[in-house]
Amino acid sequence: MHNSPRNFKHNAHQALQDNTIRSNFRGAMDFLRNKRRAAFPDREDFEQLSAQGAAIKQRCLQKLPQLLEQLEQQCHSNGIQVHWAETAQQANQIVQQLITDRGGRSAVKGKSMVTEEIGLTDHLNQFGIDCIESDMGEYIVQLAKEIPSHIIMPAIHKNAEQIGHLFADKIPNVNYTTDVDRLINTGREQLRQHFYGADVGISGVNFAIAETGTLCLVENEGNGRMTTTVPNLHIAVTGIEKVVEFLADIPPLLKLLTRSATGQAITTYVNMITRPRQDDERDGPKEVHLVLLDNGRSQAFADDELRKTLQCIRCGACMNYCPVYTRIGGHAYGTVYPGPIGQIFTPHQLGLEQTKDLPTASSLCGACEEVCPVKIPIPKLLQRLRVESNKPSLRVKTENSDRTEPVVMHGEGSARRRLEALLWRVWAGICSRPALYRTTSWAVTRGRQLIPNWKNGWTQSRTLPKPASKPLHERLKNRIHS
Amino acid sequence: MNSAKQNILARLNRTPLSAKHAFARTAQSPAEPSTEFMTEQFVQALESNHAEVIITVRSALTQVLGALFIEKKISTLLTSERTRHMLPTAEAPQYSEFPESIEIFKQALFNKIDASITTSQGAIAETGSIILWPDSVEPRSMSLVPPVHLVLVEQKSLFPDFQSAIQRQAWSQAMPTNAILVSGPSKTADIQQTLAYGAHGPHALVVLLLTG
Ligand code: SF4
Repeated sequence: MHNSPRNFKHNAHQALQDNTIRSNFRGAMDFLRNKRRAAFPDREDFEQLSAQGAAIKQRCLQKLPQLLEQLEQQCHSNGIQVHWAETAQQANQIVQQLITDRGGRSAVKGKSMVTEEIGLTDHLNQFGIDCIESDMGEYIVQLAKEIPSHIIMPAIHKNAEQIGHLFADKIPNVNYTTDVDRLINTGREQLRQHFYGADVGISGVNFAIAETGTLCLVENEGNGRMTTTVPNLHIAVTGIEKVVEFLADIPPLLKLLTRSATGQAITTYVNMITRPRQDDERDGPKEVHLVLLDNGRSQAFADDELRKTLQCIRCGACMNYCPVYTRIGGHAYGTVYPGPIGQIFTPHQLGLEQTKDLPTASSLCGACEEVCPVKIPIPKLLQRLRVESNKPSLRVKTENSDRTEPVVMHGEGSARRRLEALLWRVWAGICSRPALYRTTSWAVTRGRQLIPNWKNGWTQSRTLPKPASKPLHERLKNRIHS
Repeated sequence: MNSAKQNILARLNRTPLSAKHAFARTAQSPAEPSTEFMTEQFVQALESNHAEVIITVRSALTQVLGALFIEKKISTLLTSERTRHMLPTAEAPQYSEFPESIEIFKQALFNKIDASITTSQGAIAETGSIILWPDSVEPRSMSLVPPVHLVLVEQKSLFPDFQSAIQRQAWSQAMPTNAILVSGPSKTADIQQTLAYGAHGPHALVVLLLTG
């Protein structure tokens, strides 16, 4: 697999032929779908709750700039320091600087997609800082030198045998086993040493609450609590879209998140962090930092329709139900966020040029939209991205400088092919001129035997339809006359 | 990086946003469920998440704990001034308390403690969740690092759901340094969707529900 969305088609072909990948994903997706179905037994309930979830996220996005400032202010008065990063690079630099300034050498990381998005681990390694993934799935993926294939269950592409071999190969004094309890215990023992010794804990954030300046983290394993409790320094990184207005917004969103993700009424731990360790307290990090990351989100924000992308609460349900994802798995996309959410979100980070195959990797069946707990119209957004990538690229002057900017998003127009565009223009020309239309259809129907039977692209698995022997207009005319 | 902040906010502020939008407030909760109903719901939810629940009157607590220590083979217990007086004295495990900071205690905390016992701030019936507001007496890592966590929950502190707990305890006016909901022992399904307990936190959660 090549780790770039440019190789999507090639990767998808390869994945389809890999029986282990196919059966691992099939099993996992069936499992997750069944769990979700059991958690929302009543369609009406789900509709009501998801309408509420969508309304909350929309309200918060409507006030995004204001809520971000409020969040910063609240955090500040709680003693949490806030940093802003426009790009992945800036975010990486901020985190690395914070660690280096305090002489830190080792970090443990709780499960967080946003730190995958910015490639934080690699960046820290370059500066001589060890960074260990502490979520079991992420730990497995890191040990195998791979990337997560699912946003909720990162090691879903591997089965117990594969993990047994991996542990036996990579961890000293560990024997091969497929016993899951023993495997988990091995992971526990390894990672406890890291929690014990790490200089810094790095985490993501599920919800950042503007009203109280609180970071809310949701998890089952306890690695998130370890990461944010034991080391002396805690750095949380989050996308700017994760801010919510009120503490009271959390219960409905939480319910939607855990049920949609794993079918749980609630996760084992909900961890709400509001302050660093206070003078009279005996544990907890002495410093807490929050890095707010843009990285393409403000581009999506600027467009009324594309803004809906930012409603996402990262539950992963859209991938669990996606017929494409289920068959090709998460790695084929070549992006950090795979599946439907990745298809609508990644183009804002990497630009449409890199990602132009993603919006078309969908049959627009609508399953993703149906299960999305915050009602993101994913198929519509995919269609919109298709339009954006095929429109003529027009760059406009920016307000205060001579630089030009894309109208809607970076890479717009990059899937446009001159020949195809020309053909459509010709087609439109023919269709809007009756005489020309008649001549052309006469010629095509009479010459229909000459049309070759192409076998590529669309016709690879379909027969190219042959034109009728006479155009409809001609037939009707004959019928009226006879 | 103040300029990053300015740039981000400038980009966001460039988009005109309509002020009107659907303002969905939480639907009003139905009538308050009875204590019996909440207790049943609470116990069921916890048990289905692999936690143990023991319902007991306060006066029998010491006895119950004594039996529990033997059953669970607990020989070292982390306790605090809040719980110390409830613990049995005869045939008891070795009790220890959290010293003034984790820095001088880490080694023992990670390696020598079998179990901990803490109080709670309340509990949520709907999801079987214990509300913890760790503080200087019962620090955060007490409920996290030892392999077994025993927690006392007052039956009268049960709330029907998370929203009502937040509202009635007025959380937003005085958020603690760290608030936690715990709904079972630590677990993971990251290996082939097979559930395993004791991932990184306690592998057993024992809830002592105090009635009366
Ligand atoms: S797009 Fe919707 S379904 Fe997909 S991860 Fe985000 S919230 Fe979940």
